[in-house]
Amino acid sequence: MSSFSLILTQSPSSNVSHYLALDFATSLLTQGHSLKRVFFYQDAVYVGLNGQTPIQGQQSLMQSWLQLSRLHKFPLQLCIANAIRRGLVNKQEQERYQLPAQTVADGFDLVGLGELAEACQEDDRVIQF
Amino acid sequence: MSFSSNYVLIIIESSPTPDLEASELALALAAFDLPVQVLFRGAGVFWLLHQEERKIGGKSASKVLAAFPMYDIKKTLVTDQDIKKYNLNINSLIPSTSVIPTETLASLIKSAHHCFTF
Repeated sequence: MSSFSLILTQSPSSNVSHYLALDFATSLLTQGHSLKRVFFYQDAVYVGLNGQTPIQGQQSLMQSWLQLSRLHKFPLQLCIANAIRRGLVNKQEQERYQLPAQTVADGFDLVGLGELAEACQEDDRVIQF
Repeated sequence: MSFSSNYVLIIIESSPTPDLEASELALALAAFDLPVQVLFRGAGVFWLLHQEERKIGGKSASKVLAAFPMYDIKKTLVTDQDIKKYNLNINSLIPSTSVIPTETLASLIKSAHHCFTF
């Protein structure tokens, strides 16, 4: 069995990469591999924006990631620099920058690129979507 | 041309953008002592020309790329095919640019432990 990390770089609202990554993650976990983390970079960080309400009947990507993460206990990590640049802040960063609201959904962590470096060092595969 | 293995290969194919997130990723991984190779191809080769900052108060891409050797990213790679295709003069590109034969591209990718494309 192998260890995987995923890195997503594209916006959740303008292409299918998050759907493909969700299918891939579900499949590898079903086959008994381990998923160490899902790391969101560049516009992919928008998936962690709280208050997203999909059109009625559509799947919420944010909820799909949260559901899979809770079930299989892997972290959902937003690159902190990319997230803050786009207005995604948790409570701590909201207070630090004196912004009007916390905008990152519970269940997503703001982390540095050291997490991705660790993935490259320790995991068998780091797959980009 | 052969490449040592176990490096992280970052391929930059997108034309220059206001933010430097792909280059910042390369620098960050190198700062964590990972061996990093960076290949510019397609429209991405224009990053290697002199770049002014694209945001007021922002960083100049040329300065960021010039910092690569300080992080042990000794060469930034570009293929001879792209040099020819875009009619580039190697002397007008950032000093650490190294031209590789296009036929070594498969070997470069195959030898990488991880590969990210931007």
